Order: sequence, then structure tokens, then C-alpha cells
Amino acid sequence: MYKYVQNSLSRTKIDEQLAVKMHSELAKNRIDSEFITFSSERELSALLESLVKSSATTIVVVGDDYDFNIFVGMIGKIDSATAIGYLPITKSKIAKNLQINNWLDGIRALSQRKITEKTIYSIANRYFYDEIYLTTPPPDGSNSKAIKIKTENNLELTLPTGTIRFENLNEDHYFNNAPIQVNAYLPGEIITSKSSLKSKIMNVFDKKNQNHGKLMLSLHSKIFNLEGADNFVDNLGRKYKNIVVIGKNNKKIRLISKKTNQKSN
Amino acid sequence: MIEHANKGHISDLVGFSGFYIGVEVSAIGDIKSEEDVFVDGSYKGSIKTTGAVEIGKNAKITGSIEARSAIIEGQLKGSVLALDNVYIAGCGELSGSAEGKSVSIDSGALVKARIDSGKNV
Repeated sequence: MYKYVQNSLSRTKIDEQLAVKMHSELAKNRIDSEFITFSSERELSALLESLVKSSATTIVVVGDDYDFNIFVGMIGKIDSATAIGYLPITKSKIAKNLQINNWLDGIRALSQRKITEKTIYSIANRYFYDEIYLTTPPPDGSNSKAIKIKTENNLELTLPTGTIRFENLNEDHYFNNAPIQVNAYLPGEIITSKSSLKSKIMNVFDKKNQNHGKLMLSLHSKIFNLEGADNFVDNLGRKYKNIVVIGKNNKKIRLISKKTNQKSN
Repeated sequence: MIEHANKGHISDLVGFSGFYIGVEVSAIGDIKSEEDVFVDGSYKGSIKTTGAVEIGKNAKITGSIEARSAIIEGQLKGSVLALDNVYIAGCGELSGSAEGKSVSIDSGALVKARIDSGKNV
């Protein structure tokens, strides 16, 4: 049984014409059903609980990467046997990784139902999919050392406030023992042509983050304990307490993708 | 892993992906890694890696280093043991010991250490 969930407050709206087209394509593939909306994490949590109780075998997110990440955040409620699909209605990094080009392609993937597994990690009482950014305001506007990070191996690091990015390296088997990469960046120090050679090198070091400030820390571990002087906020606008544990729990999810070499269901 | 020449720098190599503690960061504990490690901040503890270690100009380290090779441009109080080469730059400071297949020291380096070179570690 396929169930579709849609964020009614999504940044990417689905107009009536598009909804009609989507339902028509889904009906052709005999997997059509209502798009159930949610407007908050609390609503989503209750919705997922009820969908699991109603024996939904597949839950499909209709929306953009923001909506997908909000969905994954609450995924603890989902039974591990449930397959997760994604119909991207705008350009999507997550869909690209699943080799899904657009929502139409996503419907083809749903009908083919190829499953790929991925392990995701917890951040406080939520989960994150591929990456998550946390920031905290500096105490009194100063740039004092205000964040403490402790790794699984009891390495204790103290650093200034800035942006901290956690990346799920689960798909790279090289990092099985330490699957979460942390990169921390100083705020507002965007690399320019006048930056030092080392800064430029460090920018090359992580090409994916050229829009962030200067890299000040990079390492990976299984678990991180993060403590800030103030509460943290993530890139989706969600708030966390000043103490956050990352990677304490993990969960295997079953994603519907167009990738090859997958288990079929 | 990055292969680097005796006087090369890990951070000079494009595509460096390893363990990095920047100048803004202070750390206490033990680092066990299979990657290259680049420390430019303050650090107390041990570093043990099968990769290379570079101690940056701003680094202040108290502890021990075991690595494939090591470049010291900052301050190290403790021991460094390398399978291959230990290179102490002119701006580097070492008090303690250095052991490796070869240990080279640039003029200007402040070294108060027992040096053991020329043997397989």
C-alpha cells in the first residue's frame, strides 16, 4: 500500500495542474492515492505513526529536499521494513543521488520498486539523511571559544562559534568505523582571492563547502557530543538544546531508487 | 593516503582529506587515525596514525606522535616517532625526542631533543 505525504508549508508549491498530472501518472502505474498533508513535525510524527499502524508498505515524500529532510527527521516512527520513496518536484540533490531525475522518473522508480538501504544517524531525537548544519550564536556577540565537541574516543575539542556540518559517510565503506564527518567553519570568513594560501588549500580540501567560512576542524567519528553556550539551530530552522548528541542511534532505511545493484522487494 | 616528499607539506597537496585541527581549535585526548593528520591549533595528547603528520606553524603540542612521516613547523614538547622521515623546519621547535629512518633539521629550528636516525623503526 503506497501512501504519499506532502508538507503543506513547503517552499515548493504543488499547483493543481501539477497535482492532476501526478495523480494521473500514479494511476497509470496503479499506485495512486491521496497526498496527505502535514504542517509541522508534530503532525508528521502522528501521521507516520498512523500510517505504520495502517500497514503502509511504502511512504512517499512529495516535495523538495527540505521536505524530505524534515520527513527523515521524524523517521524514528517508521518501521524498518517500510520502503521510502521520493517524488521531487524541483531540482533535488537527494533525488540525484537516488538517480531520480524528476517526479515522473520518481514514479517510474516507485513502480519498479528497486530498494537501496542506507544507514542514517540520530541528532538529538531526530535523524539526518546526508548532512546537517548546526549554528549557535556567539555569547555576547564575541567570538570566544564556545563550542565543545567530544568524540567517541574521548577526544575533546574546544572551538569558536561558527557553523558545524555533520555528514553521513555511511555509503563510503572506508568510514565504517567512524561514519560521521564533522567539519567546522568560522563564521563570515568566506574564502577570497586575497585569502592565505593555506585557506585556499583548505577550501579545495572541501570543495562542496565553498560557500562556508574558513575550515577550522575536520575529523570523523561514530558519535559526537556537542555542547554550546546557547541553543543550536540547524539548516532547516529546527531548534536544539545547547547539548546535542549526534550518532547515538542509527537506523537502516529502505529507499526506492533507480540505482543499480539493489535488492528487489 | 597522500605520499609526500621529505620537505613537502600535507596542506600543500590539493585533495588533502584527513584529520585537521585548525589554529582556532584546542584539543585534549588521543587521536588514532589511518589518515594524514594536520594540527595547527593547541593539542595535548597522543597522535597515532599510519598516515603522515604535519604540525603547523601555529601549533603548540604536548604529547607523542607516531606516524609514517612527520613535519614539524610549530612547537612540539614530547616525542615523535616516524617509520620514514622526520623533518623539523626552521620555524619548528622540538623538546623531547625524534626517531625515524631519517631526521632532518633546518637551520633556525630550536631543538632540545634526543635524535635517533638512520635505522628502521
